[in-house]
Amino acid sequence: MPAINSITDAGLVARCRTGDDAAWEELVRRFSRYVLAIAQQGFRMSRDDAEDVFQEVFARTYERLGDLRSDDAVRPWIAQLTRRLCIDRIRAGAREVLDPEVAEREVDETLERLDEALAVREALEAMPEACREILDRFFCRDESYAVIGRLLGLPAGTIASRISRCLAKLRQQLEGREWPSAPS
Amino acid sequence: MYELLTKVASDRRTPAAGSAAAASAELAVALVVKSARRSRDVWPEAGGAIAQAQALASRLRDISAVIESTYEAAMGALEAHDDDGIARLLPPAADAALELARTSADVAELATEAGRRCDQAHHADVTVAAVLAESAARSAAHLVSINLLIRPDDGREAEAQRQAERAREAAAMLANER
Repeated sequence: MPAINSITDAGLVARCRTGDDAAWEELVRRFSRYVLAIAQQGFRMSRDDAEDVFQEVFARTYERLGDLRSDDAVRPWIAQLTRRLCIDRIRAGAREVLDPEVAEREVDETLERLDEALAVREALEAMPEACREILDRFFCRDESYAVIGRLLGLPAGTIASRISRCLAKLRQQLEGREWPSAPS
Repeated sequence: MYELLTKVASDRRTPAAGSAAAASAELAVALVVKSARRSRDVWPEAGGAIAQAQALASRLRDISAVIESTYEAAMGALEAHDDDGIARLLPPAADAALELARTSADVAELATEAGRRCDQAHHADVTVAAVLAESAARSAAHLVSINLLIRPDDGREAEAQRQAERAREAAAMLANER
């Protein structure tokens, strides 16, 4: 059986349905940052409010996972659920909100960015270790070519070309990826 | 660019040397991006160079802002004869300048990579890019040394010089390929 952190979203949902506790833990781990990002970045909620939404999203996910028509669609389903709960919470608090159309558009843009970021992260995780490390060091940790070369024991002057080759592989990985289907 | 030139030439304290050096490095990045964009037919991984260049440009913009704010604060402390403030503020100013030296040297190195791969009609563009990046790295190394006036043995000065040398070697390599 594959390691739980390497199985697909659909595989994870299938295991959750059987009452597998480890699968539930992985589901929460896998989507926790996504849910918090929608609440905080998309709806500009405070950390406290976002954490309340987070609790509710996963409580409802637990109760209603059976309603999900396609296991592949768990991500958009959780996104939609988070979105609805954020709106409910804002309304219940009678807070001043942006023009609803503007807010919706902003949330759409945030979700699009988050989905892209998640897709890139997933593709990155499927890359060979050497590529994953060099891309992470340059783009995520902002390390210089000299530092990367020293730490990875690579000749100076070859780092830029290695990064370009790894980016080309990452692009192939992303182009061959199946994109999430629409919410069920 | 015109806006930056006007601001640098103004009688305000900032933007000044740090921003001017960072702008040189950003111009170098722009030349690398241009050469990559115009070389896609002969350079399949041109997109990778563009992505790296854009990441370096983003770092340069952040560094430039930090250099100016730390410089403002340090000059304020100097004018107020605030010795504790000077001691506290000069090291971060040196750190920011050192980061500029590192990033500029990376730009020069990316320019050499572009020089090897791009359509050779753009060799002059990437050579000038490396020369501009070298000038930014040397300027940054100078800013590091003046910000460490009180601690001349600080290792950061030597590192900044090494980064400037890295940029110089990259520019010289391209210039010698004429």
